[in-house]
Amino acid sequence: MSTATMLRDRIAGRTPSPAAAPSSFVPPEVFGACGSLTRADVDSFDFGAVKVDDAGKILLYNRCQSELAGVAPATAEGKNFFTQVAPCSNNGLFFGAFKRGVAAGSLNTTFPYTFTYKMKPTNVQIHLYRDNASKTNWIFISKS
Amino acid sequence: MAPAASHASGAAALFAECDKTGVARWRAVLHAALRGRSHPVLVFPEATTTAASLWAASRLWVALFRSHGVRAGDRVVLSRGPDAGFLAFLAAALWEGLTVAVVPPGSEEGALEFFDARLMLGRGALDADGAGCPLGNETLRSARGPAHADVRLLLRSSGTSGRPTWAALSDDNLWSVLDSHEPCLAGARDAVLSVLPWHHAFGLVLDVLPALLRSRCVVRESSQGRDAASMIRAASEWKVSWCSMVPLQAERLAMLPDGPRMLRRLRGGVVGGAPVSRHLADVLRGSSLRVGYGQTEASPGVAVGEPGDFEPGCIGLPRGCETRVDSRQSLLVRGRNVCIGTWTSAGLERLAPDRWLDTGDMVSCRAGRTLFAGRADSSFKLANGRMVHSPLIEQALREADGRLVDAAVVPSGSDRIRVFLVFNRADEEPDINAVKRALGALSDRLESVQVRAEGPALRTPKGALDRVRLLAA
Repeated sequence: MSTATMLRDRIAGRTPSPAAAPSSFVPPEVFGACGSLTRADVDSFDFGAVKVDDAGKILLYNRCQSELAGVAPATAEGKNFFTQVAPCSNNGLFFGAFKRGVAAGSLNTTFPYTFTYKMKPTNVQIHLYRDNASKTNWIFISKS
Repeated sequence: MAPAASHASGAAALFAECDKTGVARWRAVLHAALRGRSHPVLVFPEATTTAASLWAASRLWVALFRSHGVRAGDRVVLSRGPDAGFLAFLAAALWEGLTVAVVPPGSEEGALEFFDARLMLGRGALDADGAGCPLGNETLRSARGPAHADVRLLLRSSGTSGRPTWAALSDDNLWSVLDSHEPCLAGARDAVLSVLPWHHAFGLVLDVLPALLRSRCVVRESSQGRDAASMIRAASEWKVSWCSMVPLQAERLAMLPDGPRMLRRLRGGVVGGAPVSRHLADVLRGSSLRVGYGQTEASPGVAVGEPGDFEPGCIGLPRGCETRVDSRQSLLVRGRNVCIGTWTSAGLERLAPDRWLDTGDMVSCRAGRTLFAGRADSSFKLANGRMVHSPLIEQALREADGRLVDAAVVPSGSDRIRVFLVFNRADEEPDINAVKRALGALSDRLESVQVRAEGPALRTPKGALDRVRLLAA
């Protein structure tokens, strides 16, 4: 079952968030369910999904992202995404955009990026998103 | 003979590890610039690459070279458009002390054999993925000729103003230019808009390479510098503060409503590769940009102006080399910038290190300034044996009539001359008396004066007057 189908079933009747970025690889249904996504939900995604608090501490690290980065969820969760798990994102473009978005209460941006996974740089698409209703922050990552 | 121009003192070298030389210095600087640093150094429409990611990609290339037994001085061909793969390959080759022949994409056929190279990154050979990592595992050639451990880059002269040649640039040539031009290169907090081709010496050695070595963020503009509106958008989006360009790109920017403001906002950059027109000089005067003059054979930096100091044809003051003007008004260059040799199908031809390089450019010196007049090879001889130095006459024509954008003096038969005057408007009336004054004794040889309207059809890609097109127009 695809991510979109699974979520569509679960949140039947709910209108996708109008804030969803039109060019994102993240299905629109995901944005409407951000506040209630479980580990099983995010592990079913075929793209990376990382839930972080306002400081960047990882609360959920899904299976796809774990396989991309070679970092086990148990190892990643509890650490800071930007400074401890993905230090290549600790710059103005990535962490800076996150901090600015959290401070402004508005974070919904996508951009192309290159991560160094297992010492092998890989082009990815990033979508940073904050769901104001649930006050949760998400980093979505898709291999290009 | 004109006196030698002032020799610029060696500027303090601000690149890291300046106490080292040659390959050791490339390694030290690349290590300091890239390893473990998390800021973006390359921004393309399809990817943003951090210093650490570029470093990791370059280490994969180093591993590939070593696993194939490619050693210092071995030649490799780099034939690829601007991307992370280009820079990762280049960084790895510098690290290993390889000789890199940088071939324009599309010209790679036969390059392996011509350069007697071990491998090539380019079409039909090794490839790189979007992150700059090696793809494929081609079988290497065995080189027939010797390796040249001191030759670092083989770069083709542009060929727009003469016969193209492959200049062999050593570590010493390149570090001389980088150190002597250091104050004119992107500074600590600059984001660099890259609009020049990377296979040309100007775009490679004086723009993207120093930005890489100083760990600056390079934003590659998506139209490759062809669309001025796209350049303005990219500069605004990425808060670009540095941009080097050829005069034609600056002219195009100046024609758009937001272009002059963008040019004024830049903290620096070099405008070079072709002479700056009167109109462009007026636009750029007082900006933070500098005029630059050079040739691939001089690695390629010869002279740079002060920020905002623009006069038509002015080339600036020499840096890292000395210059003089010979009796034919040709500009000669000598010093560490001047290439150690040339590459031909017969291999490397080493040239005398202390030689005076004849640039083939005719100049005049006025009020302490050296002014570019034109290419010496556009001069010609009349049937009576008299040499007509058309660049100097054309310079006099441009100065005699403030409306003139450009001028050309060409032979007609064996003993007559024709004059072409380029105005902004085709209906301008030429000032025949001014033309005759500029021609002097040659005015009795004047066959015709023809007016052409300025436009892209008369210009080379760099913005110089295209004499072939001018005659055909």
